[in-house]
Amino acid sequence: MINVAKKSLLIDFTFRYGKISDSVPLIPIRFIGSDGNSTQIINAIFDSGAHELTIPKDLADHLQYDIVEKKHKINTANGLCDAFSSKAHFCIGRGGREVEYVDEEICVMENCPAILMGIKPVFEDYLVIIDAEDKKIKLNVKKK
Amino acid sequence: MQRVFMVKNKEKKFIGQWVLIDRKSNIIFHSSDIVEVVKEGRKYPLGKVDIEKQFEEGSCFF
Repeated sequence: MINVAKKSLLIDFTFRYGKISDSVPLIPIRFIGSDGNSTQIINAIFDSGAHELTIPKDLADHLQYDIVEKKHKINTANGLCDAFSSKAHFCIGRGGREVEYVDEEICVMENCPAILMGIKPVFEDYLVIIDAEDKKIKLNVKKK
Repeated sequence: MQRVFMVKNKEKKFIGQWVLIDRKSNIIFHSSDIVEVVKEGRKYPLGKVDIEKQFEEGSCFF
């Protein structure tokens, strides 16, 4: 059976840069594992160069996500590497203002240096404005 | 893996480490293994701590 990705009602967000990584735009995300337990909020990096939300394989294994090896190696800044596909359950936002994504297709990589918020799903759902001077990120729901 | 209390957030000694940060931006735990930090984070009420990784300026990913 193929699970179709679902998401809750989209809402606008404004995020500030990270607490310690104050030179890169970050987005708060928490993952819900296959056992239903949530991680704490993890500050992921906005990365318009990545096709999908990308997470380290160690984290995917910890969350007990099913993974399937991709047919082809993928290109990264560090060269070609093996990668996997998976489906994730996660929420973006914080403080009760969250958008939930269920069964969203993601990329899983060995030795992934960070959690990377790629084009899918956030850049497809939102107009993303990165204000590097004020160290703010605005996510405005795209009008359809 | 090491527990650290009351470390000021701007210190660069945790570059490349996953860290657990409290509401006052103190680093309360760190590890190079994200799973160790996620497990430590589960000891706190949801939303009371964040997980982040400190990168050297000039880092690039994809």
